[in-house]
Amino acid sequence: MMSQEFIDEIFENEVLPYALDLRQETVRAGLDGVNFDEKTLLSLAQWHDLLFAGSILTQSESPKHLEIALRIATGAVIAQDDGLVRDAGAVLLDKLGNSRAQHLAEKRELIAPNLEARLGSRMLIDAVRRDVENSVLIQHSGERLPANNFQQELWSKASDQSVWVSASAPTAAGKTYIVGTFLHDQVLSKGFQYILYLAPTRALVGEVQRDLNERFKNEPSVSTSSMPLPSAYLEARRRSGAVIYVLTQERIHLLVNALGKEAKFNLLIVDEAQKISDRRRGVILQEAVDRVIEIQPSIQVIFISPSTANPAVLLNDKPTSTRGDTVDSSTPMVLQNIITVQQSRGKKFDVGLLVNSEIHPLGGIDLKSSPSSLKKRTAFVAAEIGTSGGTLVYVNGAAEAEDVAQLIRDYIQPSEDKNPHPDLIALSDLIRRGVHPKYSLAELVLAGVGFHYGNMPALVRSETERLFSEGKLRFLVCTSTLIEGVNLSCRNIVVRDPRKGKNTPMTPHDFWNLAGRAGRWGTEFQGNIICIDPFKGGAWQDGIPERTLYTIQPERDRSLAQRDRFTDYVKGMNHISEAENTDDESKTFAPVAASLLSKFLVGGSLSSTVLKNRYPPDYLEALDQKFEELSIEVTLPSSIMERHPGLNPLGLQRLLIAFQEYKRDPSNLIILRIGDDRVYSRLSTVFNRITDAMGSAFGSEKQATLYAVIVLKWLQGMTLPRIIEDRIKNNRERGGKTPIPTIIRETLDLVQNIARFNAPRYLSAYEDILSFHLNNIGKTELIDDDLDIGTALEFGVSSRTLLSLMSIGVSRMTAVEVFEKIADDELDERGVVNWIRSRSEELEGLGFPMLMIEELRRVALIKENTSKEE
Amino acid sequence: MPRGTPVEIGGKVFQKKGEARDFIDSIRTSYDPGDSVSAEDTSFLLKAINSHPDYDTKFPSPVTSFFVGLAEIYNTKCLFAQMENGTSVQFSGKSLVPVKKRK
Repeated sequence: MMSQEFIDEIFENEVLPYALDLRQETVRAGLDGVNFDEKTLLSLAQWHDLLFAGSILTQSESPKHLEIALRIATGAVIAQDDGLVRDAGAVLLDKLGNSRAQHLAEKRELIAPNLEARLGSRMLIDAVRRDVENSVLIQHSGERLPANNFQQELWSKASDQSVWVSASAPTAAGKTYIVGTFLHDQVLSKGFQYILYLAPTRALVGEVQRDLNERFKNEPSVSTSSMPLPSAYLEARRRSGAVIYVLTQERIHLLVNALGKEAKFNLLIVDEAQKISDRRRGVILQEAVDRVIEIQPSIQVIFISPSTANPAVLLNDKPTSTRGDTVDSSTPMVLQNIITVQQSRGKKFDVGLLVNSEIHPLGGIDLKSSPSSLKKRTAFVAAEIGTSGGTLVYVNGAAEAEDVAQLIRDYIQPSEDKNPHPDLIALSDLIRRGVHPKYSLAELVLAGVGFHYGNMPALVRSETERLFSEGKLRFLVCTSTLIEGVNLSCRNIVVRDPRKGKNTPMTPHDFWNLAGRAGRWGTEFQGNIICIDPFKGGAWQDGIPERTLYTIQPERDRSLAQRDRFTDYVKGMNHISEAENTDDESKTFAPVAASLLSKFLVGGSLSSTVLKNRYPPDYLEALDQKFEELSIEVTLPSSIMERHPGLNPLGLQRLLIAFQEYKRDPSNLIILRIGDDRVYSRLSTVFNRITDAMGSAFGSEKQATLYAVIVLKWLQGMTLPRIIEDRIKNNRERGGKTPIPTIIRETLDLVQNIARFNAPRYLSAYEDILSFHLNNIGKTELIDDDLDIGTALEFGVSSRTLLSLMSIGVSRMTAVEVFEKIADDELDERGVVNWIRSRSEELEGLGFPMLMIEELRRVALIKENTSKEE
Repeated sequence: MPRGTPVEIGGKVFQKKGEARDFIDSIRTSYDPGDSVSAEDTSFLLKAINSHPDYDTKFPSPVTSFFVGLAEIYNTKCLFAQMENGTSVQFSGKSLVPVKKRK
């Protein structure tokens, strides 16, 4: 083993003097559209020296050393013509545990085939040894899978089922891939049966479920589900099979509500676990984890997060008898370059390389047209630099994403292929049928340009991501949804004045989480982060942020850490409605205080909860005392509070009081179901009643009526194009002037945020409390035990058949189209699979878009395998 | 001596037409949108709708109950009659009070 001192010396003397030239060499080999300044940077002899130094740096554990060793190896392969230098670079990649990059070099014919045959016997033995060392053993098959250091460590630590693991690594380190493989192996080799995969966003849920479906498609005894329905779990228990639920934190609560104490899972994986720091949803995530553990304390938990400074913090609440361990890697697997672009005059732009806050000139680009607006500047630079594809453009909102995508298409149009790829035509068709014929994305994708934001329907978004990953869409303009956990990487990312949402400045960590997408491990050697107008004060208020690690601070801990202020907030919380929580501190404290009050009401004391391990007894006792005083007013059973995390128990209690004080016929309090003529008016009133009791959940009376319309159409299983078309028509009839793209975006937003998020949470609580009240007053005949309204709304279904379609994995968009052709509205899962199978050959004739047909056949095939097993 | 002619609607005598209009309007306003009308008010309205000038076309099927709902366009509270054929129809309370025909 070499001494660290020697390695440091090599780094200082043999590498650092050439580091800038090395960077410039590698950047030039991977950046399109730039007229580079002519100069020779590194001689052949210098490359030899660097390769020697690089082989020594591979022995270091310092991320800084390993990163530059990777740059030497990559540079040798991509920027040098000499065959020997390229071979040496490839060997160095292998020594770094980066066999994917080595394979990429072979695939691109940068190194000649059969590298091993050119190695001497000693090198060959080393290479074989490294093959074994840099891999993990797949237990169920006995095969070895190539893996980098991070992946090996995670695999090894997580294999001990009695240990909780918190793993953190940069975006392109292959976290999701290794976790999926690990899960597959655990289920097949060790018989893990009941697994929860917590993915904090719906977009990520879809992505993970698709990946797992693919992995388990030939395993009839294993089912996956993204629906919080107990049937999959109970079925797995009945058949001694396995089930993997992929759920958001909210859906985990729904599942646990339905399963109760039966919810005994073996393994919980929390992806994007840093979201435990998020305001409001952070507490819901933490409570989901708490609840699952309380029911099954022996469960193994694995947390995954990107480049965090303190992954160990996630292990704080593990049971005292359980061991915890971290896997913490900050070593990148692909190179990342920060490229600056600034206008010199007119259509001419200077291009530079940012290193240690200093810009080093690289060359320039000449735009075809003058960028007369900021949107044009972003679009034209992206179009010029990103022509070879894999170019992601970050903008600050959905409307801007549409505009910039249009501009890119216009800029590249003359050179565009007139015959789009059939997959793009299929996507365009799906968009016209599934969103709206006038949705601009339908036309854009035909030109190889797409946009991507949070409220788009899942199937459209996932197809857009897939075609971008496959290079069929060359440009993708996106918003902050991408930081919210979608695993989408790219070759270039173009960014100017980045914000999170419209007005929130992007934190350095968010910026680097985004920038981390640049560089597809195994597909590209490097990624470019292209920063337009890079100077401080203008587009970049504080300059381009230095690379930083994210410090996880769970939302609950952040509030509890401010002992005096938090205690004061709790003291006054019975006088505060949600609407009054306007300042930053109240907004942070409110959900935490509500969550702790629920915990108190359930357990009778905070001192008996997981908090007891980390907070002083006198603090918890003081809070207990405040909660005791507050709880005098609360007559609702604690089980109701527990079922509705994130909602203020005092607000729920006020709702109960409103019911108790209601003087008319109590049947007027019931949420009516589709088909009743009073349903729309009743729902508006219910929204107002909730707002009166709980704060500003549904806004003004006028907003409540708008929300009621959308919620009902969604619940009715209406297609998105019809909901949008109705709004366009309504706008026209009222003489409104709102442009169609705005109406489309607004409708997508209303569906996602009201119909699928706010309404299910509040209406589900409303029905629970109402049932409790009706029981108390002896009106049990008014209680409807139909499908939980929360579940029905989140999935936008009101019939058994639609729900069955979605629970076998069909997207809502496809499900509602198919439902139009199914007569029976009471089909169970087996019934819908049989229907699809019996119509399999007729689906084209029934007029469904191709992507919907493919989805139906894919899902039916997986389910067919499952039923054969039975 | 109050001005105006007494009028009988729904089995109830009002001293003035204005009083009748106010009474019917008070039914409309006293409920929340989506509420079913009470038995007492239903009994009154069942008789009162007979005074509707277009009774046969407005209510093609026997009326079974009433509710207060939101009007389709302006979202104001309105009275609705639920009919035996499963449909419902919005009607104006004012239309139940006969107007004097102009000469």
